[in-house]
Amino acid sequence: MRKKLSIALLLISVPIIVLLGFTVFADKSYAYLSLIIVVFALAALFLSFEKKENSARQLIVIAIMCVLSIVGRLVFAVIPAFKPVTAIIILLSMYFGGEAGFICGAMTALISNFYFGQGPWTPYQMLAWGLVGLFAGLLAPLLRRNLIITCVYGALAGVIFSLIMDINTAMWYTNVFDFGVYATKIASSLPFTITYAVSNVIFLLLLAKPIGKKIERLKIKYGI
Amino acid sequence: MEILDVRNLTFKYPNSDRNALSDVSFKVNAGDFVVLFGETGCGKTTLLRMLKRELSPAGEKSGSVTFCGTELSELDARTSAGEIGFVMQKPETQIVTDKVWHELAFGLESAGVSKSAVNRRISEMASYFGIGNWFLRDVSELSGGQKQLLNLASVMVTQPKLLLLDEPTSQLDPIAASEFIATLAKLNRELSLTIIISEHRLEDLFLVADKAIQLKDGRIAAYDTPRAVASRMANDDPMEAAMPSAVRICKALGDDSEPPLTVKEGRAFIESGYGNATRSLPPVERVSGEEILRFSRVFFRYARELPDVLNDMDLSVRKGEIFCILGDNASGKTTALSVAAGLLKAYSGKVEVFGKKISAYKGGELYKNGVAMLPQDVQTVFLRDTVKDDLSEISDDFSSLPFDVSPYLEKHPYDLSGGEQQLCALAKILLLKPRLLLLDEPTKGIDAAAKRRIIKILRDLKENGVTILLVTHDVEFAAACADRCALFFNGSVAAVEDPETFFSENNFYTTAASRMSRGYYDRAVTVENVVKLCAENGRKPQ
Amino acid sequence: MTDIKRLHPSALMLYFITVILLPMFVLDPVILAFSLAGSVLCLICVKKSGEKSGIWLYIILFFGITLINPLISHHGETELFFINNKPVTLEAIIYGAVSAIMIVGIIIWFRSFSLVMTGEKLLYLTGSVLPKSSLILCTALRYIPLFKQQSAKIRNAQKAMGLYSADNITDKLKGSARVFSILTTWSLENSIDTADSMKARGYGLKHRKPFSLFKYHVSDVVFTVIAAMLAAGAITFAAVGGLSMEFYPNIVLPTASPLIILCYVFYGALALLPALLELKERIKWKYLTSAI
Ligand SMILES: Nc1ncnc2c1ncn2[C@@H]1O[C@H](COP(=O)(O)OP(=O)(O)OP(=O)(O)O)[C@@H](O)[C@H]1O
Ligand SMILES: Nc1ncnc2c1ncn2[C@@H]1O[C@H](COP(=O)(O)OP(=O)(O)OP(=O)(O)O)[C@@H](O)[C@H]1O
Ligand SMILES: [Mg+2]
Ligand SMILES: [Mg+2]
Repeated sequence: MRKKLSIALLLISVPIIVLLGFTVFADKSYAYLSLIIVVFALAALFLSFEKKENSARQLIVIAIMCVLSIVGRLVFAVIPAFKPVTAIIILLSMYFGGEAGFICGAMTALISNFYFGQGPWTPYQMLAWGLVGLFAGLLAPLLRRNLIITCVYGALAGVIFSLIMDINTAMWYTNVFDFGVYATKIASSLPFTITYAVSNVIFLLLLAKPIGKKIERLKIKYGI
Repeated sequence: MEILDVRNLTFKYPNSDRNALSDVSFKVNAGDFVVLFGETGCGKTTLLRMLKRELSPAGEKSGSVTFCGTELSELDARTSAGEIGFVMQKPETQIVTDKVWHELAFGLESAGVSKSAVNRRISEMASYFGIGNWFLRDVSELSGGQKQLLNLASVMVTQPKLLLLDEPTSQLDPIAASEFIATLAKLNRELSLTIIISEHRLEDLFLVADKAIQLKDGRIAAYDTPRAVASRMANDDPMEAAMPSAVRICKALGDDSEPPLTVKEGRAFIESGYGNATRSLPPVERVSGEEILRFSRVFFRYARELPDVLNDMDLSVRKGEIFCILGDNASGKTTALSVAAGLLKAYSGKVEVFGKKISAYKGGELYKNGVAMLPQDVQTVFLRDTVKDDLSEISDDFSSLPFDVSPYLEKHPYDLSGGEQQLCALAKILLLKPRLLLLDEPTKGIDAAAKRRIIKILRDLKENGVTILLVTHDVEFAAACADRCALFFNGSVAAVEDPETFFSENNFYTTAASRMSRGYYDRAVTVENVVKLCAENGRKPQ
Repeated sequence: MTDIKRLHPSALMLYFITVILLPMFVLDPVILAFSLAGSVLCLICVKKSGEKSGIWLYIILFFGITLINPLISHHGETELFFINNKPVTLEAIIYGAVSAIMIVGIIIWFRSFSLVMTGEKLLYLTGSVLPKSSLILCTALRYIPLFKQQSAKIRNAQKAMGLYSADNITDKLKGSARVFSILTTWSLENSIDTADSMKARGYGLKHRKPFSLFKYHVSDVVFTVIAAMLAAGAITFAAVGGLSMEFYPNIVLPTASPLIILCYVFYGALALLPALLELKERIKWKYLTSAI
């Protein structure tokens, strides 16, 4: 009970402090505002996942897919922006739904940043990958039908991911939100955006069939 | 009072065409210690899982299981989870959390027990099982035996009335295994806990169990006291080989009387029934060729800051012999084999294979030259979707194999039972036609009949000049097939001896047959040895 | 009170949130200096002796951020020189440097945070609010090392059969792909055992009560109250005193009113709290050992 109380206190006090500070220091706190929005969005999505009915086996499968994408990120650490993470998240969402994909994306960002370094960017990354999974879940019937559509979605997801991360950098490093600045940032990170998109397509092409087969096998053998 | 009543239980897996269990009926009284045995694939795991609702596999089921008078499916969820405990075969994968204390608390957390009660119960359990010293550790730091003990303890915290165990000791060394069984016996005695355990090694279990169930092709073939089951066991039954040594000696001598069960009874049976004018068999002739593998003053550690695992290890294995290494869990046996296979590099000392320094073999040269290793975890051998694909990576000529793999060829390696995986992995290694074969625990998880087959395979390989270095926890197996044995201790092999000397002088790392005949016969370490000596001396006049 | 590593997780969480709050609000040189100093001292207290501090990374980051701003932003009166016909101003450089200090400070706080807030503590905090997500987190943390170990084992097993170790690159790639593929199967199938073991022990029953060994000691309460008071004070004084620095069109430093000085004192104390705790512990330890 006491623990619940302390956590509730934290959950209430933080936003109050934040909002208070925000009205007082009105200008120049775009970075801050966006961070708060991101954190709240994450909290809402996590809580909605908690409400879903999930068997222990489903939870564990999600955890294992997180492990795969984290290890994937670690293995490809040397090549910037070329990562299998998004592809794995999309594949998981296609078979286990958007919530699973969201959790996998958010957890991948959170856990892998224990190796790559935590920072104010962690929540943005969690949200960006999480949303990629969430939308893939919404589009799942479409994506499962055809590999080309999946790849198009993968490429798009790479672009969206890059855009979200650009908002983060633009605001944190210059602390203003200005479309000019944002445009410069987007332009300068174009090579990364392209790599994200291309790597997603490549990994989807490579992984879609084998991972799909493995998940199907699991569904038959263990009735998940 | 009966705690469990199984009636006409029949079960079929969804993608299978035969019943895994057919018409199984039995009752278990509260406080009974029941051992469940049978060949690989006879349905032991399936039956145990059918008794635990949360783990029952999906498939066609008929018949009923009643626990304390209530049908299993109608049991309250809390009762079902808390009062029936289950321990599985692999110590590693059934651990859920990353800390020992948290693992212990897991079952109580689920049951919604209050914090102070959880604290009291896990502290008590930890001290009962001797976990106190590693209570705060990470589970990844524990040895296999510790992990299995933790699994047992974390099931016991919810105070189950019925405990189901599926081959819990198959990865443990002989001493840890008998300690584990002793702990079970103690729980059974002190808490009158009902236990049903499935196992392949029955030597210790038959002594402590009240009842034994033999399964055969999904049916109950026998259900009685261990003594009665043993005495009624037909000589041509494949499970005869799994019986305790005393029983086998008695049966092999053609004695129809009630067979002895314990070492003590076995000794009395021999001493009262048979003479000992001839005290020992003629020494086995063992030819040994040139040196194939040699360790001299080898040191190895996994990382600079970790302790030495191999510590001044010397070893010499000669052509055409079977060399067995025994030793405790985590003593470094697997490490030693990996160094011999060139997978790990010693930081000091010399390793020579076929008379050449191991570092002189570049690339895959060593393995093209006839060194092959069967790893401890045989799942690591398979990479493909069917056994056939996997074997074909080496060669398509399966006819040269000493045993038949055709039933498994089209299956996914991960769909095979533990024993079947072991055989298929061995097949893949044998296709390499090695000259030096390194085997890491080749008999774990397989039944006594399959073990006999492996002994024969190894002997045939030896006849063909293959040198075999193997690590095992199974003393019976080592006594039956080794030319020389060594105990791995403190990072190196202590005392290399022929098996007769080795087992007749050890007190714990030894076979039941040796303990039984010690002092009456010399150097008789296997059931066959003892039987031969008894037969040679003949019956004492009554 | 005890040193920071032994504090209750919720006290820790509260501390780290409050300590990065103010530097994120206000780009004030004194506050930022305290934040940077506090974060560095805290890192020194919590990191293990052999561990790398990663100081070069922070220095590079500092210069990187300092230089990016003047290239993007061309506000400010003092034009130093032109690049591509765009002015590079002193104000923009200073703004860059100040925000770089803020970001580096916050990153160092995060670093200490992830060292102090072990998986176990994080799980404790999230366990009651987000039980399922915490379980996923916990399992993933457990399986990452297992996955790596198994990967090494499989590679070794294949190598010892003479497969896929040729110097031929396509063979090697094919081998890696197959190893990754079977690892996926391995982890998925073995994890089913884990899930079964959870279920067998009643996971999924209603009214689950998370358990932990953490206790709320008096020292945690004292620490929390002190930290909360310091933080609240600092924020209030900053707000009332109108603490803010202007950069464009030219630099206006905040004026030192009593309120602002109070704000500095409060925040300074807050930022240096971990270091002070450590100091106190060392003195106490010295005293204790001399008494032995
Ligand atoms: N998921 C499954 N789908 C189909 N058949 C299965 C499945 N699991 C087991 N079987 C089959 O059911 C039979 C009984 O299997 P079970 O695992 O109960 O044997 P076991 O006695 O425990 O063997 P072991 O001693 O090797 O552990 C075997 O023939 C096995 O091949
Ligand atoms: N990859 C590794 N990194 C660090 N330490 C290791 C590693 N592998 C094994 N060890 C340690 O080395 C010691 C010997 O391990 P090894 O696996 O050789 O034991 P073993 O005798 O084969 O045990 P078992 O009978 O359980 O198979 C153990 O203490 C183990 O914890
Ligand atoms: Mg089984
Ligand atoms: Mg081993």
